[in-house]
Amino acid sequence: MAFDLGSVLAQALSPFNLLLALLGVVLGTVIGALPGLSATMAIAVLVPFTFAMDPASGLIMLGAIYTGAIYGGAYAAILVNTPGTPSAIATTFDGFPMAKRGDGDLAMTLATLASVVGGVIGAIALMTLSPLLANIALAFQSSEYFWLAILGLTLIASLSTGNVIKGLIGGAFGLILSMIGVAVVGGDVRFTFGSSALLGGIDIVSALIGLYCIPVLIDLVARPDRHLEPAPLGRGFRFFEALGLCAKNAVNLFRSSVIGTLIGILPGAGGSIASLVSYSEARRSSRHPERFGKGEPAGLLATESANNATVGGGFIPTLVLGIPGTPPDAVILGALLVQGIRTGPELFTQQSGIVYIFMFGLLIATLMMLPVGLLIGRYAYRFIVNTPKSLLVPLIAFMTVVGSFAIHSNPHDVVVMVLMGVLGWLLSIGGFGPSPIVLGLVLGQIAEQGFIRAYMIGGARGNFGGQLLFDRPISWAIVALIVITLGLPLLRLLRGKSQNGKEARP
Amino acid sequence: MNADRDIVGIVGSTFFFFVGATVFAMSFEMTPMAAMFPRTVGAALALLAAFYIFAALRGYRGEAVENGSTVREQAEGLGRRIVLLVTMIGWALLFPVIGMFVTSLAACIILMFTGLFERVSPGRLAIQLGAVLALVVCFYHLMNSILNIPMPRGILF
Repeated sequence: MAFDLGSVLAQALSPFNLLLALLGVVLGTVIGALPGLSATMAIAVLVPFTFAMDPASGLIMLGAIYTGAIYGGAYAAILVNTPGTPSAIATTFDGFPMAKRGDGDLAMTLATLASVVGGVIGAIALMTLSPLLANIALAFQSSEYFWLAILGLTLIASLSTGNVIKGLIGGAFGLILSMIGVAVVGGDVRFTFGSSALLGGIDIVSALIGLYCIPVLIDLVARPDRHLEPAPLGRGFRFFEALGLCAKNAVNLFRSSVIGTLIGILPGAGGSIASLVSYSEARRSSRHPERFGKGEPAGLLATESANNATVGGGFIPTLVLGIPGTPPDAVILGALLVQGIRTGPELFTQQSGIVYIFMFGLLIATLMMLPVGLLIGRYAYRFIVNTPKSLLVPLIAFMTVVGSFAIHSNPHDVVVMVLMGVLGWLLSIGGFGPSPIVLGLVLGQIAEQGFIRAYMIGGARGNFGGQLLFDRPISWAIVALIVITLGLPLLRLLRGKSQNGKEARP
Repeated sequence: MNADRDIVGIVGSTFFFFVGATVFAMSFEMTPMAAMFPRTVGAALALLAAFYIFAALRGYRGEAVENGSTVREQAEGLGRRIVLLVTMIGWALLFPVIGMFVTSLAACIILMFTGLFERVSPGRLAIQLGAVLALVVCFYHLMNSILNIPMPRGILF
């Protein structure tokens, strides 16, 4: 490395920078915990404050806010069943059932540990493999994005065990919702029914808040029983129990963190796909896949480690290529330019000091998440458990309204949120869960854009139809993963049936 | 008809069948590129929904990991559920006209009473009302002044 490690560490560990990292993690965690307030917003609001600081300190604070906000998304997902950001969708699958049965303290500690592990692995990859991994971002083209979205959609099959048709119906409905507005390719106005408010499409975060949170609110006011089971007194953080579970799931944690880092590198893919793919992989490789979705710690560990690993992964194309991997990276890229730092391959040679101070700062901020997260998580869980419903209902309702309004300062987003909530509630009565719909909505645009672009590029090259979709080795690898993801459960089912048949025979 | 049949599932699938069929039909008014996905997904949705209706009518009933509440469970506290929904819809429609602070305060007070299940003393009620007021003031201030998100002021505030 062409920099003085001692001097970099001394600057990264200076009391002022440590204080900034701590402040950033706390602010990020609190903002990320509020549904609708995203990491992008937290960073965008606080960027102007960093202009008065020296570049390295400002960047450390922004990185800390970002990593804290991604982690904070787990709070609402676990305690209120509301993924505040798309990257926390899969956290609701097992986090909320754990909290509901009285294991909310364990869920919060597991989420903290997994986020720290994922964040550290992402940060280490950023420090050591940046130029090498940046090539992956360049290798991914339209067809790979299409297949990646399809890989994410295969999770519908595992989410709908026992009723795959309803899951597929929900997923297809979500895909249709993602098509509302101006078409991503071609510019046709689709399914707006003349409403200008729908031209921009359905905002994913508004839909998320509505689909997950409104049914929770409706159930909250219907019954006098507690929202979450309280944890028995004297169990503390359940830190060592959580640590034991992490040790048991070491492979799962590592695999999910690597998936998170790799998907984080891909511009536009982001934490939602990373956490969904790692959840799917954790379920597929588990000895007890039937426990997933019912409060399985392995599911929570997979999603939280993956979404925090995307932080480090997302910075790789941002710093090496100047291509932001995620929206918060784009805001940080803007802050870098204002500070006079030019991103690109030369950054690591010409301004390596600042870059490595920032990377070490990010690593330190990720480690700070452990004590900060354990403390905030414990009190957040206690607060939600002990708050009477008469205060919890207006609190959650107000957060949903201001949260969905805050995304674009647009009242239509609030209307969309409420309508999606009513629709989600009605559909849940019919056994149509919100997750396949959300998956379709989140992945629809990525899939359509990738497919149409690959089709057009293929057409321009004289290929037939969708030949380009199958032309490249990375596409083959993702298609193979899709086949494995869909085929293995089917194989297990058939094997189980044949074994049952043998046992039944005298 | 057999009482065990998934009647609400059939009703839901009928809704999805019409959504899929409508999307499929509307795709013929679009340019070929823009129509490709809607036509495929619309047809798939309509076919899947039709298949489910057929299967459910023959007695098929699966259980999803994410279970929705049953109709019977949803009947419990139906009045409170409806009050909440009406309040949320009214809140969403009125806050740009009347103002975020006033509509939020009114909606939060209604929701506070909706979430009350036991009789409370006047003192306790005053404390809860104070807490709701503090909640609205704090969040409004956080959004408007600290995060610089302009809250609609409307006719009142």
